[in-house]
Amino acid sequence: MGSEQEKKEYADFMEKVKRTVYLDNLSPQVTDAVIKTAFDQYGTAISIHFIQNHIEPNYIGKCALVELENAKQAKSILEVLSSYPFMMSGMPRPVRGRPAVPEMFDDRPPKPGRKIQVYWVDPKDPQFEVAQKLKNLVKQHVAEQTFLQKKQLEEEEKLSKQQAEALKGHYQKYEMIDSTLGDGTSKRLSKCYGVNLNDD
Amino acid sequence: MSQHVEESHEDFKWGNSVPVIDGSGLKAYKSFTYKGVEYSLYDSIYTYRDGAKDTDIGKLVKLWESKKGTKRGKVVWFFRPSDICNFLRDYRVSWNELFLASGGGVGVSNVIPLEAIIGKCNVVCTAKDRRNHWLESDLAKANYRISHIFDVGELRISEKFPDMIDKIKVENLFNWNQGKVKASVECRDGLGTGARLKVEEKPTLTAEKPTEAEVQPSKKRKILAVAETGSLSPSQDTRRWFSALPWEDRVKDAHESGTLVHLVNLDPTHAASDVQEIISVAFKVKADAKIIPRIRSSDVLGQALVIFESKDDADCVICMLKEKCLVVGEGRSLVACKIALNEPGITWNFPGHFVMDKLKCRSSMVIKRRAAFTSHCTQANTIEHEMAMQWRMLQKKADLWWEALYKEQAKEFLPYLNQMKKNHQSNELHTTGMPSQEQAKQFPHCLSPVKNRQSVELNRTSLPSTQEQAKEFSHCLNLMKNSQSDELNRTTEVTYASESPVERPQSASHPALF
Repeated sequence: MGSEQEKKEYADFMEKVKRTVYLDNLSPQVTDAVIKTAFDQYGTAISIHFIQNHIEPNYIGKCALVELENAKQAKSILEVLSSYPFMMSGMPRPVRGRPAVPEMFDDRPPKPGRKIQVYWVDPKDPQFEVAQKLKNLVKQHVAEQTFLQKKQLEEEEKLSKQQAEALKGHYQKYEMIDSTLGDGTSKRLSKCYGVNLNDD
Repeated sequence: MSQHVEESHEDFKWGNSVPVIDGSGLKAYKSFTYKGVEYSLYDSIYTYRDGAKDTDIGKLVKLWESKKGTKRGKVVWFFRPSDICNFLRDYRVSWNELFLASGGGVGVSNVIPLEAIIGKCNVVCTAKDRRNHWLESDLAKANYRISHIFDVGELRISEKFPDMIDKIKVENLFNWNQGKVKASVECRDGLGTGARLKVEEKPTLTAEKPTEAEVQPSKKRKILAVAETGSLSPSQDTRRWFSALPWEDRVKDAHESGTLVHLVNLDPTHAASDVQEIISVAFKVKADAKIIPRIRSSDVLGQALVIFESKDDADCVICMLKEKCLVVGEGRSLVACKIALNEPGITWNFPGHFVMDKLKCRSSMVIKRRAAFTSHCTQANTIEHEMAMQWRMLQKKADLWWEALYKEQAKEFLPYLNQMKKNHQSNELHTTGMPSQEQAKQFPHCLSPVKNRQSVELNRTSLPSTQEQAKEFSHCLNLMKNSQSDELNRTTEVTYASESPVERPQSASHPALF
């Protein structure tokens, strides 16, 4: 009886996973309401859960799980997100979407019928050395992941800066064109070079 | 409040109605369903007042809907021993005992909005009264028991139950119908996955001396603010009721008090309840756990955050996991550490999103403007699109980095795992695990500082040298570079400053790990 219930709960959960979309590269300013309105034309967001990141230092992008009414809506949203860069609460960094997987839910129900095996290994145990090595390897891996995360953040900031520079350049260019059009310099120049400025 | 009632309207359904004689226009009912739980008349319920230390428990004695549509219920209260500790005299309360309010005066009963109910409680009356019937089996299932009344007028407890309490026949307040009581138990069991019906509350007799105001039970009951109820729902575990205190805040608190532990190398398929089970089996302590969502499916490590009940528990667990190895599932040895919590306080600029007013421009030709704070797809002929593509590229690239890293890690990781598995299987033929008694014995002594130091040294010596790591890592990064497609290489070459071993942030970013 209990396992039946567990199974059902798990099946329900898997259904939920299918109609859920995972979003990352979200600005910290994005809220439930923003996501809801953004997806309004593609589907109805039933629930939105922001994944909190306690571990990674200074990671400021937000991630969210957005549950939609059905799997079809989720699919169509993912299609939109992958075919066009989609902006949310700022630009030009686009939001990215992926289908959700069970491991992304921190409140997922336990898999029915699983058996957890736990046992201690003492320093005397012949297995201890391997276990200890594995532990160290894990620590190393975690450090590597942290490092890569930091690297990624640096790259992101670099690109951001670069783009800001480029934009500033564009802006100055437009400013210059504006001013030449405004103070009559362009007219004088067109006369001088014999170019017709008017479109007709 | 009214807004809240509307909100919860869908969750609420009345059951059978009862004819009302007094002609007041009220509609009285025998039962109702709220948030999926059926409550009937004379059920015991939990309510919660904002800011209170503990829940209040009472018995529903009347249910009605007013002309305006507000749903009300009358509740006769049970007192916790801590509420009336000044009037217990020499009476010795049992740990799960409550006292039924009686007599005349304020504090016996209240009218509450039914939305203020947060769950069902199973209270069994064990009074020695011929009108009362109860079974030992009921008591075993009960959350609380009552055997005495507390007279709010005379301010004393008594074994003698009066015939009427607040105009309700006392028979109704006893276990008036065995069948009914059982039904309510079943209902409670069926709420969630069942199994873990634990009473979180422990009697707080010694908690603190109540102030003058608190001594008067009459001051106690004032349930008007129901703002909290929105997030409360009955569930199998009382911990669940108060999602009002979100996990994030609890993590912060736990971090400050040193009860937060980061567990790594769990099976990625484990759920939070599995982790809790592992902890209770291995360490014999209770803890709250939450899985850290795994974003990339090729990551071999499952991670979780665990909040222990005390700092000693947390330290002990970390220490034990350093000294020995706890192997979980198919051969993963757990790693525990404290973490430096990510402080989300400062919201500086999100890289890649420009602050608008700095770049605000009059020219209509520049793309950035009103669209800034709405959501939209870019159009292919704008600068925005071009920049977005650059971001896309970086995102893709980052994906490739991660993939490469995880691939390498899995390559290193799996041989060990297989070895563990093999070893364990051969071991199992000889012995059947370690007896749990031995674990319990070892638990206290690992607190001694000498042992602590030893285990730290053990870790340090077995770590590979930094240079070796750096070499390995740069190799990994090279792999990443190679794996980038030509299309991605079109952008500026990314240089990895990381290849110098100095940059390796091992101990800097994760001091707790080593």
